[in-house]
Amino acid sequence: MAALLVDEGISRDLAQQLVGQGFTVIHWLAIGPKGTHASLVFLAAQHRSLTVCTWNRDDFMFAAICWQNWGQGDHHGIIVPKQGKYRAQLPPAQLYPILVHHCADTSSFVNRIEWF
Amino acid sequence: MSDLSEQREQREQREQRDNGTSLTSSADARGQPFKKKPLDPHLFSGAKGTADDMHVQTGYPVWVLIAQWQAANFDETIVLEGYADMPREEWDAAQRYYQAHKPFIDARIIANSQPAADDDVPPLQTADEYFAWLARQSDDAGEAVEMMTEGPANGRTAGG
Repeated sequence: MAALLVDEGISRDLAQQLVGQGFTVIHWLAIGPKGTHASLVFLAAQHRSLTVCTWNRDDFMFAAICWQNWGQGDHHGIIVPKQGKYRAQLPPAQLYPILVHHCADTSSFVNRIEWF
Repeated sequence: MSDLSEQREQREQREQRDNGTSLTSSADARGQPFKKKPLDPHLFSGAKGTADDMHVQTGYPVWVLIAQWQAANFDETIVLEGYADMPREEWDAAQRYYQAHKPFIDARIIANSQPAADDDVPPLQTADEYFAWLARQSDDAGEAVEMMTEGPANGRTAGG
């Protein structure tokens, strides 16, 4: 199953709900300083072998691409809003089942970019 | 030392401490075209130090909260329920900051949701027109959730 690092823009409650379902989910604000640059959040996720889930598509897409282009090897995947979906942000209640789906996914998230 | 210089020095020290880098040269190159003023105590500046990187003290980025508010058809109760650990005062401060810095935060939201280069979109002239159009396109959110929960993973492998 995917082990998630939930970025600061997603509510802590949602992360706690996922933990309550038995999934491995860590909220960034539980382990790192608030306002941390996305590059450092991404780096922490790699050190902990976690897949980043974030609203911040641009910064984390950039980080993932840099990671590979700069020869850092595989990354542990990111889950970001879909480009071209023309969708406003989902409220936590609608985001929750999407994250459950990803948490329950037993395949590898290495180098994966998942859209929601 | 003037208040302005002192604030600038404090900011640079904070950025160096938080990021492990110094932004002094870029700040110099940027110049000081704007006067400084203290931030609302319910807010703090993120690592980028820009107007679109403001956060409430609970830690959530203002632009994400505003995007959630827009998605909720400007129903703040949905935002407050979704971010239950955020005090009401922080949300009020986030709204005030948005009203005072609307172009920058709108730009962040737009950049993060913009279509692909070859997508067919209607002619849009303003951020508010874009947000209204975005809201109309959001009716399929339930369908997307259904696909995610019933169908196979739809991701792709980067770099492939």
